[in-house]
Amino acid sequence: MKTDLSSRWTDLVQRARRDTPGPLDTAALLRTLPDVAAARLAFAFLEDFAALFATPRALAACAASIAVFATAGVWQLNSEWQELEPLVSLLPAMIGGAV
Amino acid sequence: MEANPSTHAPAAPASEPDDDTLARRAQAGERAALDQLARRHHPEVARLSWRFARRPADQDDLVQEVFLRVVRGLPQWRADRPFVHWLRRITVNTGRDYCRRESVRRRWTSEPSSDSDTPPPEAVDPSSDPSARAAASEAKALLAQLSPDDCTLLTLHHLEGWDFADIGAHLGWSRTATKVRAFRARLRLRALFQNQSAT
Repeated sequence: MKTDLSSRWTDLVQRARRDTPGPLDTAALLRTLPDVAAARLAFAFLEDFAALFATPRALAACAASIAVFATAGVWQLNSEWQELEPLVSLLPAMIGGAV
Repeated sequence: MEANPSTHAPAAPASEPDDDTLARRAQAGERAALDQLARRHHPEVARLSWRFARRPADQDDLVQEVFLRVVRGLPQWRADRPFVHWLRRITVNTGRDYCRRESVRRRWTSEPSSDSDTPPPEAVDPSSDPSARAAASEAKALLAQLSPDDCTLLTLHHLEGWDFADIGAHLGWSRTATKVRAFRARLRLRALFQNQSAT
């Protein structure tokens, strides 16, 4: 039983190792990468993300960071960040309310 | 047979600058150097990310996340450390973070462990080997039920063929600690595999 299980696992792993990713779109990847300087700016803003909603100024900084990110085209591919997009449309009203 | 991760590292063509030279130029803000690095290493990063990803769309996200971390970390990259090792470490850590997110996702959703949202292989990539894709899907579904660290460790060992010394070096564990963790993780994996085989 033990040997049977081991050999089935070995067979599974050997077949799994032959699996390869689909075709790569390097051009699309390059389009989503910001320059080093732009990324430094955007991430510096994002490091203040924890302070979101703490003060109106933090909220404004967050809005600015998202704007920088959007400008850099960073979230064109990353679906998790795309989920943040609805937040962007809410920010002006939220900032207005907070101030 | 266990492989050394360096066997997959793409060598720079003789006519092109090496990785470290390009990384220094990219560090100084040269966009073309960054693009050349990304172009050169995209296949290896994609292949390694694919070992972790349970859905094809996740692989694109992982690859992008790796390169964003590279862009973000480049100002801190030190030339005394080969770029390719640094990149591989970022890729492994991104894979480990993915295992963590998947673990949380599994806890908060009623998703069955067999991963019902995985599309059939031919729907993803007509050139893929259906048997290999199905086996990879089954193995990943089992590995995803382990803790994030165990999932990372055994993914690298079983699916990538890395030895424990290399895995430990990339995850910041000693070789002995890695072997002990692997022994325990394999016991848990064996139990999961046995349960699955029995049903």
